[in-house]
Amino acid sequence: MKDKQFIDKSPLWVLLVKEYRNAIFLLIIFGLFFTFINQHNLIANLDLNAYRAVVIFIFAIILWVSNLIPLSVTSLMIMGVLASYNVLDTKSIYSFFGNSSVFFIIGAFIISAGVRLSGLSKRTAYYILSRFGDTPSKLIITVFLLGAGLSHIMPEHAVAALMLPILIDICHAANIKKGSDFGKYLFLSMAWGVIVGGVVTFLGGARNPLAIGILNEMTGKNIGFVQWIIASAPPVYILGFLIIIYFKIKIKDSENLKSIETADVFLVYKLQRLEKINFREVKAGIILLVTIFLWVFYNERIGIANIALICAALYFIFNVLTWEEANREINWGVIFMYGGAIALGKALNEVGVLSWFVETYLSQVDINPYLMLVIFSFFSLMLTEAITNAAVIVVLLPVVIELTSKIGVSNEIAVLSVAIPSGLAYMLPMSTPAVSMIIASGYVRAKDVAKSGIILNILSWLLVVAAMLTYWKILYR
Amino acid sequence: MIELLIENINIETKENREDFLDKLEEKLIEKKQEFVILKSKSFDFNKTKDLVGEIKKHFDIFVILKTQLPEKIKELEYFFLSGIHGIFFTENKQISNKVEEKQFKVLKEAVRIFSTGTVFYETLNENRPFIKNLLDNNIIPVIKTKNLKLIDFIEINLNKRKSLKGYLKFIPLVEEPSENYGFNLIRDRGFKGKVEKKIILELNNLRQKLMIKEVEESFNSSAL
Repeated sequence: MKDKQFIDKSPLWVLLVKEYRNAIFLLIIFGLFFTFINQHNLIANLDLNAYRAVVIFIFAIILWVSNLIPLSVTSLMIMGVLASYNVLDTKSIYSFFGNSSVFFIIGAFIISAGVRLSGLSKRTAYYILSRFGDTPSKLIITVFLLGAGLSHIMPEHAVAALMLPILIDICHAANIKKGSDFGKYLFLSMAWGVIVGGVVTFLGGARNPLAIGILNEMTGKNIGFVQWIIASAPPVYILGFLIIIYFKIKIKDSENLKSIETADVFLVYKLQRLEKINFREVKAGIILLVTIFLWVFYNERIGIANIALICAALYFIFNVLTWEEANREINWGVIFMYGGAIALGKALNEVGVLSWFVETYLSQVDINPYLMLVIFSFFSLMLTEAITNAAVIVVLLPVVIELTSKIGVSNEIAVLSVAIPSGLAYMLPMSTPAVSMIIASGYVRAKDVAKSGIILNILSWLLVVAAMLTYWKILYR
Repeated sequence: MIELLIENINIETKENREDFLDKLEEKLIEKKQEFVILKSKSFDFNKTKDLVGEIKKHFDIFVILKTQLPEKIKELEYFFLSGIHGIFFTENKQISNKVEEKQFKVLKEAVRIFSTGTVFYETLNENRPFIKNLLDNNIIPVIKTKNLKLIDFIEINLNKRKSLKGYLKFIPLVEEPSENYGFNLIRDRGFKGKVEKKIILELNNLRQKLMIKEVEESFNSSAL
């Protein structure tokens, strides 16, 4: 243990600042908050409640971006602050927490837990990899497609967590060394697959339901489960296709064939060594199929959140999951974060902050409305590299929805233009769990991720812009 | 084996933790001690750290390690990392007019690492310039002889250096009964004295906590 410790001999005041810098920042932030919250006359044309909502919003953004306290705790605190300062009445503020998107996310977590803990997803992964990954390029493309495919039905970070140890095992079995190009592309393909696949449905990442929740609260409009897929799939699948072509060009089958033969044998062996298919897996698979069926065909009649909750309950009724297992898998921090974020977005709308901001600053700008959306989608893409995508949605989406309401652009296009780029974070370790996982594996350097990430970011943005200006305009006339 | 000395009373640490803590508590109450000295033939980092941790958890006392002056500075760092509050070096040579330069370097580094007033050096050397040199470098000399004039000399010099006196109220490190040292020790401190002791102890612990850093083992991914 002594070799893992060292003595910092800096002056004591430096040590105090280093140790308590978070507390010092928090003190400053809270100090500024209490200074400004009552300075009503700082912004003209805003009544007291609206002014306070702005201050609270800025306060929340600073805390979310800096992560000085857990994001979920910030969200909860913000709700308390909104109520304490009478921005809206207490009953309204807490009622926003009951948004159906929040409950959809809970249901989705439970469904994902059922699929994962029953072993169904692991078996699926080994089966597909052993069946289709018999050459180097095919293996890498299969990993990409598997990651993307699973992220259509499970949260992308769960898919990454599932696939990472499998890829590490493959590398060990096939003697693929850290620093090798093949190893690098193998892990990159997984990360890119889960990121790209995770934006296509509501299940790949909770950010999409959050965006729908905000849209619904602000405008009463909705984008259904299937409608979202119809809108997001084409540009994202084109992106996926381009990534596959990239891998085809980069991976020389002749150079790595011997390793992959070993890997293939290993994967077949691992598949055979899995336990026999048990009833739990069968039940999990059936419930999943029923859930997807209902989402596709009965979404309008029943509602996606209701379907998610009822089908999640089936996992308990049919003994696929216990409550303790599900409890471990549900990320309650996300639930609290999203509930609070929706409440804040709605509060900003209700007190007139958004319309004031749009009228005062944005609608005066004389540029094409779609160009403005293009700029916002770019902000979304860049911001999400540095901060959590939920914070990106909360910061940008209410403003964009309000703006599009005023300038005659469809709100649904606004949501797609901000939400989809917010899920496409490739460059930095803090941008998404999949990226930090592959860097931590040692097979990919942060430098490689950043370099290739820039190109993917540009490509993704161009495809989103192309969809925004053409396809989505047709869908949401 | 680590031995605990409270005024030359040995407490074996082969006992189980509960018995050991009970015995230590008895001795502390009996002697009204506010410090304890650890002594071992060969320094075992993990054992010392565990023992110091246990003592700190249960008692508000200063833990001092008694050891020969090490050859290397790295060893000083290991002592500090074990969690002790102060260090008491024993002389490992015959009486000499000066400590060797190399050894003095180690002593000075000890003063840098440990809080001011917690580095003690036991010596047979009664040479006043030597004693003054130690005091000038914030090292508290502990003389083994009953030289009252020298003790007065030390006291006068310590009174000029208030920063060195802070811990002496609680860690009177002499072989003679501490009253002879003449620091007007108050055994029954009362509430104010206890608060003062607690503040000094916790500041020392805080300083240690701030200085001891762990090497990052892994990169933590974002929460959501």
